[in-house]
Amino acid sequence: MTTRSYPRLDESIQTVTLDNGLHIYCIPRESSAKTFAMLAVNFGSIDCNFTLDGRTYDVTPGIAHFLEHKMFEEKDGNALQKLTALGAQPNAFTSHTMTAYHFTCTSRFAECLEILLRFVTTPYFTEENVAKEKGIIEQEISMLDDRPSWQAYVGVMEGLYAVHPVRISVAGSRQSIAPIDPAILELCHRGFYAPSNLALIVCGQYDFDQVVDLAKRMTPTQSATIASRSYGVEPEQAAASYVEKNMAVSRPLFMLGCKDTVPEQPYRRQLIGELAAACVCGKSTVLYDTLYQKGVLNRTFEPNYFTFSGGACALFSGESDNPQVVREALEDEMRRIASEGLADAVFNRAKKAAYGRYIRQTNDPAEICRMQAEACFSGAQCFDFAEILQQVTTEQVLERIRQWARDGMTTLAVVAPKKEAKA
Amino acid sequence: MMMEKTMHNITRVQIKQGIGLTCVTAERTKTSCLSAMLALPLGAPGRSLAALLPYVLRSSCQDYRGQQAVAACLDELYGARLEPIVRKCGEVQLIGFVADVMDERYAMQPEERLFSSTAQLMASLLLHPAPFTAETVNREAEQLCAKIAARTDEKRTWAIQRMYQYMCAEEAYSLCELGDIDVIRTITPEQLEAQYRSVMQTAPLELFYYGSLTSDTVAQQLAEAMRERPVLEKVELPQFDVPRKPLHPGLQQITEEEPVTQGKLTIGLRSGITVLDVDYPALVVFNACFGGTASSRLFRTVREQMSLCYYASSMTDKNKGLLVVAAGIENESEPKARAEILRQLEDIQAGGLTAEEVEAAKRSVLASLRTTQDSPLMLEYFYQAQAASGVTETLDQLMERIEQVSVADVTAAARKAVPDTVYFLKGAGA
Repeated sequence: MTTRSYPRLDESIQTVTLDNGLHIYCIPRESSAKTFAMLAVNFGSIDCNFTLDGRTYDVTPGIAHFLEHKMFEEKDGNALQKLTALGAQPNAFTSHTMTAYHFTCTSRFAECLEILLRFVTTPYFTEENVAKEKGIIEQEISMLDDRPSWQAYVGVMEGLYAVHPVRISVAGSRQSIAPIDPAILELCHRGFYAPSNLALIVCGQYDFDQVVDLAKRMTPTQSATIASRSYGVEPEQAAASYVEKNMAVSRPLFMLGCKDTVPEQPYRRQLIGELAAACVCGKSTVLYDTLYQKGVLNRTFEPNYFTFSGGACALFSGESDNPQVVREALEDEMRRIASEGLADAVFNRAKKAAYGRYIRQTNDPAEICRMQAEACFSGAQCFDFAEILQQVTTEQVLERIRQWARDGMTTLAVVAPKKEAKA
Repeated sequence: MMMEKTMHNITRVQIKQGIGLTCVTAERTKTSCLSAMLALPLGAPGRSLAALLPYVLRSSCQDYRGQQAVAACLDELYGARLEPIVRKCGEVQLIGFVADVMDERYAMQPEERLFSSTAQLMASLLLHPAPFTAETVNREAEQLCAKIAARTDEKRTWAIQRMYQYMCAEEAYSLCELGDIDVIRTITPEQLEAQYRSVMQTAPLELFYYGSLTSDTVAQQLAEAMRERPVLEKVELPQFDVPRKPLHPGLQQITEEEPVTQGKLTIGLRSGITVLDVDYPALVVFNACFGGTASSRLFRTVREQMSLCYYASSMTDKNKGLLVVAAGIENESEPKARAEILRQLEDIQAGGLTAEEVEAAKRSVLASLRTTQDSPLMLEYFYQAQAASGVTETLDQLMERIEQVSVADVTAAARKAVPDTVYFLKGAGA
């Protein structure tokens, strides 16, 4: 076991990797009422094309999310209900980049952890329970179809990426989940849920040795290995400049995506990208203030950045009666910064704000575990942000903005109100 | 200053007549949270004016000119957040600000006073407005109108609001806390200034703090920051009715169509049990058994057994004594889903809950309340809602009462839950 301390942040992480390859990270929180545990799988919705045991597979989109739903079912009942019966709050999520199962509890931690480790590593798929789950997931997909903010996000990804599977919604579609059967679920489970592809992260009150013992006992001794993952050959520029969807909304929602290069150090890039987006149009910039004064933007506007295997992009989202005006203003500003450079005051303010935001996030054990899952799958630790933010230079931030300012790098996705049928 | 210690680290302080403070001191926290809420009757004629106030105040401060000055100040405070808030708590309209800021122990320079600076900023916005200009008022009015119009965008939450509009048509509860578009469009700076003066002179101000500072320090800093707020002559919380039975005969059924993919079924119930009542803990446990958790009846039957939906859940409004069940389903599943939801309710009312179900629900409620204790913003919401009903019960005291709840208590509370309105937002295809 190794312990890494972060005295300035009042934090430490205890780490060990088991013989079967399972990574364990424990973050102590003596004063917390609750303990949060997460078993994260390095398997997201983008991982549809992979090589296992010398064979290449191209599986249907939505499989990672479908698997997440199905894992809770055990031979002798549903793990979700077993955990809630112990007073824990269990849940799971699938994103483009990972699947994670987690619970919060305030007592009976060892019993809960045992259930978590068991159900995630033990597949139980039948023709019947897979068919039944399709009904539930179809309703989840319908719910997402009706959610304008999600549709704007899916739209911008479709526009930015021609090939990369990040262009497909996490849950897939009714059509893409139709062919899913027990055999394909078992294949993905064998490959991606192998211990070496998992991270167990605990934050709160725990006994480290007990966590390790349980993990050893509850996880398989052997690990299959995903030899490679492919995301296709993605062109440098955005696939489409404009994407529009019509929905029952009161005013247009938009998302402007700026395609960035594939990051070599995704964790560091994420921090730099967030800073760069805030420098272009954070709430304290002149540009945001100008657009706000004109009533073109409102408080829902957010600059953001997203890294994933095989890509990265900046995302500016919000509501506006005139998304085209917002696009022009953002693109002009990126070009201006690319040629004139960045004022120190703007850069330093963004840095200070980012540091505080990350510190605030580490207040919550659930957030820490999520941060650690993302960080460890990118080869970093969740508290590295403090050191990296100290080191980031204006030049690194400028490099990102120059990339976004190049021709053909952006997609504007708009969810517009449905037009009235005219006679 | 009067102090009244409650359990653990929670302190109630009356800073002066008309300013209350709930102070939660937590040891190893990395963030602190501060909110200031003025309580007004939701049914009062100035509702739209009041809703616009926090937005205009944030952009018209004598000490920080314009939104950019405020945003830059917040960035310098390590990305602190300070947002205008308008909330509905039962039939009370709360208006004010919520802020959260990194604990100063983690600042890059040790001498930085992050909390007191945030408190000063909030006090400035609240107490030092510059004269309201037509430009600011019109811009913020337009933004607020867009926000009101956008309530229909997320159909899952919109269906619930729409159901309450029908169910509580005769009560202030059906009104929108953000105001009415027609009224907001006509608001002048003079009207808004008059409303500001009136609110300042009559509405009780409730403060909430969560963080590592002691209650004495916080009370002293906030008393200083808010010293310009006048002492109120009398303090009265807005009062409202809690009907215990439907106000119309039989189950009201309404179906409306919208161009969406999925139908949203909502059922409104009246329990008449609020946070002020002795059987409130039993209502909370009943809600958990019925549709509040992944072990609840609705989750297990409507979702897991019948495979009709992704979500089927119930929630309570603790200030108004209402419950709502919501599920997203195929249009043609509506009769089946509705029948099953009502059948589960009847079964629980007939004493169908097992001791295990109730124990599991209690554990789950207690766990979720304990989790609330670690979340500054959830505590803020909890204690501000308590204050809006004039309740000083702490989270710990509520948890103690929940532990005492028996199966018979839950059944009795369930029997008080009367279905009032079924609202189905039918998907007419996207």
